[in-house]
Amino acid sequence: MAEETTIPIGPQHPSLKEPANFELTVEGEQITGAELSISYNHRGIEQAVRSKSYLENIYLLERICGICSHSHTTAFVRGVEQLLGLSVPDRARYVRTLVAELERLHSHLLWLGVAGHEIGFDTLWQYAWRDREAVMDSLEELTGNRVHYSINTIGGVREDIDTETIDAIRDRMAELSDRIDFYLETVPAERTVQLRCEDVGVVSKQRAQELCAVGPTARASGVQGDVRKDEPYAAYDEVDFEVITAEDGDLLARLQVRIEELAESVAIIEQVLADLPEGELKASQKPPQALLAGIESGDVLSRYEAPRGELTHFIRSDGSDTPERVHVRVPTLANWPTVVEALKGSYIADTPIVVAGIDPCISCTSRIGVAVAEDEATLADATDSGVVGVDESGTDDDPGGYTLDDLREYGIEWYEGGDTR
Amino acid sequence: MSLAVELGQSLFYVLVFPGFAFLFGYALVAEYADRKLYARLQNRVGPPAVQPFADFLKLLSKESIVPEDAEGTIFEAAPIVALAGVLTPILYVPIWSVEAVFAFQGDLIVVLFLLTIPSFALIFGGWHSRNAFGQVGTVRTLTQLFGYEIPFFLACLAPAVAAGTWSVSGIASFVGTRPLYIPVFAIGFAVALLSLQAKLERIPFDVPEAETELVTGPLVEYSGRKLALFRLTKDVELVVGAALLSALFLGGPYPAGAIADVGSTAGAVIGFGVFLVKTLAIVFVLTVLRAVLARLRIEQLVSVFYLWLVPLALIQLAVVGVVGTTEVIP
Amino acid sequence: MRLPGKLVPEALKTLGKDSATIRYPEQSRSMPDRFRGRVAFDPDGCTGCGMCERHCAADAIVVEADGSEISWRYDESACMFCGQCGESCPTDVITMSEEYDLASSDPASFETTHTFER
Repeated sequence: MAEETTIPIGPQHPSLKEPANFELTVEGEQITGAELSISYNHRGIEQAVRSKSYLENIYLLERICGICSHSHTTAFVRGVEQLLGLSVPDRARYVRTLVAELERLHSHLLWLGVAGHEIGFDTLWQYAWRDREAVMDSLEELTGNRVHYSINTIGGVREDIDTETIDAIRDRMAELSDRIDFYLETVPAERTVQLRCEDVGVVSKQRAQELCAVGPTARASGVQGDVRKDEPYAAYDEVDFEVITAEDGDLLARLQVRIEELAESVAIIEQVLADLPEGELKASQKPPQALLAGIESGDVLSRYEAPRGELTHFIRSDGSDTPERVHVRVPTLANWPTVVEALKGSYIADTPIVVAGIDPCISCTSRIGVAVAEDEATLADATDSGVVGVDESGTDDDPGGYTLDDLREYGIEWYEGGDTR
Repeated sequence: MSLAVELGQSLFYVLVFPGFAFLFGYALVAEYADRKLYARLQNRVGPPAVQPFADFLKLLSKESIVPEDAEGTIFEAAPIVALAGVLTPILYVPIWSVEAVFAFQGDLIVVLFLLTIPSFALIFGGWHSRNAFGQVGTVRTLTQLFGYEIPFFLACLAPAVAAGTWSVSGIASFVGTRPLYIPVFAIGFAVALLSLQAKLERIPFDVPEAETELVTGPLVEYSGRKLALFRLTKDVELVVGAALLSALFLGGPYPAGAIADVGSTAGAVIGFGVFLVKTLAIVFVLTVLRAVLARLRIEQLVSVFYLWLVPLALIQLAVVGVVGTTEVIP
Repeated sequence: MRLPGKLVPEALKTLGKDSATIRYPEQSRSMPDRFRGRVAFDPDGCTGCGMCERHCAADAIVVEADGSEISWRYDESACMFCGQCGESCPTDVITMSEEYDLASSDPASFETTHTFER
């Protein structure tokens, strides 16, 4: 079976819970080449953002992702606060850090479960998700919702934390800490897990840097990079924590890094709860519409370390209470190239776990950057690689850009020609 | 005894006990035990007792589709052949007494052969479904088959060699009357358990079904009645496999004979109770095994069987040879 | 040799524990105080200022004033339960209730309308 065949994985495939497509070139069971197409699930959020006020956009952007919802709101409100020149009160910064770390805990535990499921280890999946419930309960008590916490608002946070909740979270963290120790001891040491993860999906440090990987994926390849340390936001400059890295760059290293990050998150939460400063929750008591009336026009780029890696929000304000442009670059987009890299040389059976290894949020990625193509062919290339988008704001001063109407027409043509492809 | 009575008795054996009706019921009980225990190991509530039966009925009432591209006859015959293949061997395995309902010299070979039929039925059915996932799964089933059958046969050979007979009933009574032999067969028992797990395509050896890779592999195009039969086949195979291992390695219905006369009604009842305990214990071990491991890749699976289990099974045969010649166990 | 089965002691220990899951819907869990369920509206005290409508990102609330008569409409199928309406309300007549099992096959049941004098 030495001849090469092409196997399509996705956009509908049992191991992918969201749509993405991999064209795998295989020799027998071994993958020799991989190509990736994404953006099957474009939701038009960036366009919708332009018709809503900054305040409403917090809730809209929160819904980009059901797992890192706090990441998106924090990144966005930080940008808006920068435009407004607001300084967030200490207590609000601490509460934001608390929710952010709880979110990281729940995201990593979720991933641990998913990774277990992908390698047929359903008991690990059930245990990880059971333990995750402690985090979800904490989030729900603190913010009022399990998934979309909606705790951020412009200039601060909406809900305070009382001593009862602090005690409840402390107790849960103590229990969770034991569980994390248990996972650290057993999961990477379990022989069948090693068989499936060791030397699988390897991305070297050099390749991780070249491909601009972010988050735990990059850190598992030995790349030091964490926005919480590099450009501290919220209360991260006041808490003590370590950036976890590993050298091997395989799935086992990613497993290790994520489990150790769980322990770091618990440590951060304990510090935040111990050092929580008293004070206001919001920078200004003015109603939001009055606050937003004073927004300056300008551009701002907000960076945030989401559980999956660096998340950026670019916000352009024209001085009105609706943003002129918000562009979101989610960490999964940065990590996709490493998947293509890691798939080469792997077995077909490893595809689910290699794809799951970066903890992809496939539909969150489906909004993609700005490609200003000179001609049809370049745009077609860009579409194939998923890097295409709308550059509406730039159309006037850049005639090479595609307007929304151009793209719509192009899209119709592309799909109509789809039968002959 | 007249021919009519004898025929009636045989029909009863085949259709009611220990044949179809009993196996059907006990297979569902075993599935329930397996699922409930699996859920409890994972800290879940688990299904209610009637769930396996409810699932079976539900599947029976659903539309049973034959894909347009499939070879209709083979595709449709496969589940029936598979079920028939696993229902038959129970007649040669002792359940409540020393003797199975039908026993002859060499029935072990027949039982082992019949137990491979569901795998082949799955291969034919899956391949002729013409589904890509089904065909990849089929190739894996076939590869896996060559992996586990050899250690399974070698492991089952050990008690046969020790007992000097090819009859399951003969082996059961040999091991049952000499319980000291049970620890001697420990290695073979372990090999047989792992091979049975692979035969049943359960984690860590569920490579052909691999839900997250191949949906359910060969079964992917099966629906309704035919899927129900295949699922029932797996349950019956679990029970029959457990019964066979219990007879070969744990002495079947013994020590019932020590408490009451084997031929009497009380002896039969106790023997049947022992059978239930032993088979459920084997199901328990297989379920725990399924809960605590991750799925292997196909080439890892094959190397586990060839590099570890085949040599272990050979060591077992050597141990049996040494024990037999030195006559340390009377 | 590294043998598999690191989870066996934990799995057997788990057998003795109570289930982590419950039989929903026969049993259900209690919601924390801050839980944001269906929007509850009390027309007493509403001034019809329309702040809830203005700040609703999902456009689930529509406030219309016809002379001294105010009509307050809420569509729970559009609502995304962020709670901003309650926060923006100057007279605190909007609160988030604990109701969460809102599924229904009757679309009309999602609409709530309150009509009252200012």
